[in-house]
Amino acid sequence: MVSSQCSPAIVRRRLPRNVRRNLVAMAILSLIGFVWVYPFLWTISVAFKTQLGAFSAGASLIPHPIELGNFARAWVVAGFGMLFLNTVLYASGATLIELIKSAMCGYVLARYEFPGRTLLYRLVIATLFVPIATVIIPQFLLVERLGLLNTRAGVILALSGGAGALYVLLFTNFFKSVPQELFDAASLDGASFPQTFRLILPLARPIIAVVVIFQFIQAWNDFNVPLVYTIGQPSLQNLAVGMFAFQGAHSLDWTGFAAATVISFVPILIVFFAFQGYFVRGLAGAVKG
Amino acid sequence: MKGFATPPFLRRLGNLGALGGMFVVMACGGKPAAAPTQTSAQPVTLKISDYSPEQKDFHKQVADQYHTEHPNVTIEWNSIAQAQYNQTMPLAFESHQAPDIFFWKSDLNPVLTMSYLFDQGWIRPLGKEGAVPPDWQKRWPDGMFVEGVNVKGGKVYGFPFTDNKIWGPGYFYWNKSLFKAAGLDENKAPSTWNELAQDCAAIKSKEPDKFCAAVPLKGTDPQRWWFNLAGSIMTDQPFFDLKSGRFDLNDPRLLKAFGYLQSLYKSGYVAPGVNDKDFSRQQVAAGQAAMYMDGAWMPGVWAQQGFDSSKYGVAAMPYPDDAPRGGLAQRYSENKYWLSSQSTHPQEAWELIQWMTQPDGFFAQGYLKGGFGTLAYANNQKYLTDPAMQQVIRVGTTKGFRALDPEPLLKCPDLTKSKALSDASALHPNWEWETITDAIVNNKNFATTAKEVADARQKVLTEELDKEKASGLKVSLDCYTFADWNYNQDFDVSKYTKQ
Amino acid sequence: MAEAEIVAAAPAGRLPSLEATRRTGGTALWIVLFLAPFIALYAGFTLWPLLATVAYSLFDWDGIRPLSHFIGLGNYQKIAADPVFWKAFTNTLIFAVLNTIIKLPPALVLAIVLTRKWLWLKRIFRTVFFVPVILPVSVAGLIFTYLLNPSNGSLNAVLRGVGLVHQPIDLLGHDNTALMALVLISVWQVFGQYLIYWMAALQNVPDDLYEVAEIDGSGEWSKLRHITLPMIRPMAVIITLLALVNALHVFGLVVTLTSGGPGRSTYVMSYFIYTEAFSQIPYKYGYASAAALLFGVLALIFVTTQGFFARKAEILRRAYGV
Repeated sequence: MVSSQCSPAIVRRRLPRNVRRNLVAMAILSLIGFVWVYPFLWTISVAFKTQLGAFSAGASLIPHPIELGNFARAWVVAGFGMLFLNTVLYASGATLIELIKSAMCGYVLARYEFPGRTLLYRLVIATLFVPIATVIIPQFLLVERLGLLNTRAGVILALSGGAGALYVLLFTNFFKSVPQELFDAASLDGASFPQTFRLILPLARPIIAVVVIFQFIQAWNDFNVPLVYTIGQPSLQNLAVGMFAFQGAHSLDWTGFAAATVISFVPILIVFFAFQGYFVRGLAGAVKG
Repeated sequence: MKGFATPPFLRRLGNLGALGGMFVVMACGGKPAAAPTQTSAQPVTLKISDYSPEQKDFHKQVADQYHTEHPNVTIEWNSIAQAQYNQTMPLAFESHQAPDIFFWKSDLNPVLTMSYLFDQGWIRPLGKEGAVPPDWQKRWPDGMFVEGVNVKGGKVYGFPFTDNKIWGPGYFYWNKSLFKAAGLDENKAPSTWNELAQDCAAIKSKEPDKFCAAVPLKGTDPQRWWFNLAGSIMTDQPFFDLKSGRFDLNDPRLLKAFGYLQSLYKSGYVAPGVNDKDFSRQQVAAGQAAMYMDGAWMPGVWAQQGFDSSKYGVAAMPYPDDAPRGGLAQRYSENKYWLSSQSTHPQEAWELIQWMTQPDGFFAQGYLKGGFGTLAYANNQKYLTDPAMQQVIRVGTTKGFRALDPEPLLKCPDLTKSKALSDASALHPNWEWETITDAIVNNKNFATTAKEVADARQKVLTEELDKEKASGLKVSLDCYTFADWNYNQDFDVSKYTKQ
Repeated sequence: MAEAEIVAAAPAGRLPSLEATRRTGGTALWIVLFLAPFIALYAGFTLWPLLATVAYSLFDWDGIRPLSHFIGLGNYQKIAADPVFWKAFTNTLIFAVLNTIIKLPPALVLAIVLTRKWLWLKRIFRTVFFVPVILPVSVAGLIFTYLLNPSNGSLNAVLRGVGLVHQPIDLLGHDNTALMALVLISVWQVFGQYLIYWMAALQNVPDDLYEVAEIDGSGEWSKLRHITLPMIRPMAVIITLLALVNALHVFGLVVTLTSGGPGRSTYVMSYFIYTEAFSQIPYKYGYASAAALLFGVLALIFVTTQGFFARKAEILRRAYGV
């Protein structure tokens, strides 16, 4: 940075400017942030309230009276023990497959000419538009034909298959923007196809982070796929399906539902917190290499 | 160019990949071995499916008890939310994973449920090829086993589960403390429409911060109040008048019912907002609103929400002051549990059904004590001890409260093959509710939009009936017309049944 | 917003000529290997269901009985003649456009702010704005029915407490405000997603460009216009496309928040399909398939014509040096 060329006097003057900016930013962001996160805080508070307390509380976030039993009930009713494990498995598996398939396809689509390339790209975009409401039966038939019904593998496959093609677009777009010089340098060094790929891939860290975060959340919260593909084996369901246990024939167990939602939040928050760091360490510096 | 030292990031990804690979290997085998039970008889697992997850604990008790009595039988009872259930059941049948016993009720025409299921190839007859012991049938009142409804070609396929006299719409509930605070008699419900409006006026003046009526308007929830209002002046059969054979949203009587509902809004007696039924119910439970109308299931719902039955009253819905009374419909619509055609243990499943339907058996007692509903074959009065439910039973069994409606199926048996009425009803399934909500919220002219709805449906009905008639079925609009019946009379079925 | 530019831009990229001429058998094999997983899953889970959907749309089918009642274009005729379909269509388009316009620019601004080196507590703020994305959409809808309720909801409690209004306002209870409320709530729910997308896009901009600009004495606005925006442009096109497509498919929120109401003012296409075909058994799979396809095609046409006009506008803009 410029600081190495600056005298200490200039450096000392810079600091207050940053502090000033930060104070303003903090104030604005905190206000907006609080309003932003209020509904979420409200859900958490509902998890600590009684049914009627939740209803009559108005805007108040403070539970009165406090009800601690919702979490225990949520754990039991939603079947958190086994279902939690399944959920982690499905979300991780689907994310991994999605990452691999999108990165590889995006790489080729961006940089190599092959017959059908234009068609594929246009097809990918066009198929984004069809609503997916009716595709459950054909997908089910496919998985059934593959003999993967009531297996975890079937669920993971269906989750990543159903994710579609949008991540391919992101990777394609990204790889197209990688400067040609890197590839030339790699080929001069005698790198093979996969070696070049392994070299270039880390540059896509932001995209990878995006895919991991989004696909993980999507797969974590998906209830349709895990439900439909585990009809014969309810023990293979995931948390999102388990949440349906709160929806009785005549009423919704709101406080238990809120508690279950809060519990199932935590791992996602962890994943997000961990992976958001990748947005900072991006392309900076890579271009010069 | 630097060497290819694997950056830590990729290494981490690689580990994740190895882990993933492990998971994949682990995942490839998914079915655990079935746990065999001991003793001489063949160990059998019976699967039952329905959409009552709130009864999960009870199901477990049932499974345990049955296992104690029949050690070779293990029951797996799966419940999930209704929408998901309706979606997965066809897939289960398609992939030959159907349970042994399953719950099914057609929304468009509950009485034709058996016909639909039979056409789909999903059910098999009970007993020995459809022949059931007479004393099993005696558990129900006479006339509950009807050809075309739960009997086909003399073979019995289904049985009425929920009773159809008590269970249904028609009840008026009120929050006692709010009534008291407004100076009203907390034990007396309004018995006419005018009285209801007057009570609301009292509540509005004495308790301006609270609301009088909690009327849900979201989605299909207007039905909570609507069925009661419609039933009190005409009929609560969903939008079809069996007296005149017409779709009836714009019938003068129903227009009057709507006018009354709208007047409650205009007078400011109704809690604001397009709320759903859960919200309205909680409003009454929390003392924010005084009145609510719905069906016999409310005590169970409120018990779950912590609203004790001593805090609210139960009565029959109020009737119009200056119009002839209507009647709530009693129909053959409660045949709900069916024996699946894909069951590999039909004999054991039939035994389970017989065990479940013992009037004083473990299932009946537990089901009723749990407040999950009423049963068609048990003594509801004896086992449903909750005071509010006792009130409900008292109201529900009052003569004239619910009248046996004519059943077109009995007049024209060919209607089991007809799709005309369901197609007419399926045209924009929630049209009437949307129309009602729209008219109330946006102050629109209800008469014109109601006519549009009724005419559109009637058109589909008559056109399709003509087509079906032309193709040989003995059906016509006359099948749906019972001119000499009156809404609050029990329909005389003896003309049509062969008993 | 030149959405259709992507379609044009893709094959005309700057690069592959080199690789194409050097394509030996070895590279071809790698290409196939790299494409295989995606193609396999895409063919199985997107293309095959699409073809099946086209087939189903020509039948009257309940999803259970054998596929036997062929009615050709009967479903399409019924749908095209149905005013409710067109109402849902217009609602969906209005929703999608409003939603996209409202969520993208602020997300970009916030993304820029949250990637500034000098900002404290970046991780916390990013998480705060991202949190609504983690909520399942149906839960979000339920929460807001409580918050916005005129009887006792938080919003009204606050507004009345502060003295801004005397009568409770019912946002979800009126035709003209319900759709807008839906738009705003859905923006709230997905905002974090686009924040992340923009942050990823911003990583493309090398820091040294900014440094050079700083030395030259450029202000923030100038840096934005001349460095940031042009550099993230290709990514911005993709993000806009994704934003539009996601908005067109809004469903879960409508179910729990308004159930399409009041009346039909928030009837969107996926809700229309759901109500008409899947809300009561027997289902109408053929009808749903036809509606889904019809909508997909119409939406695609809409977006591409938008892109076409946007490109024309762009060319004109450049020609006039505006």
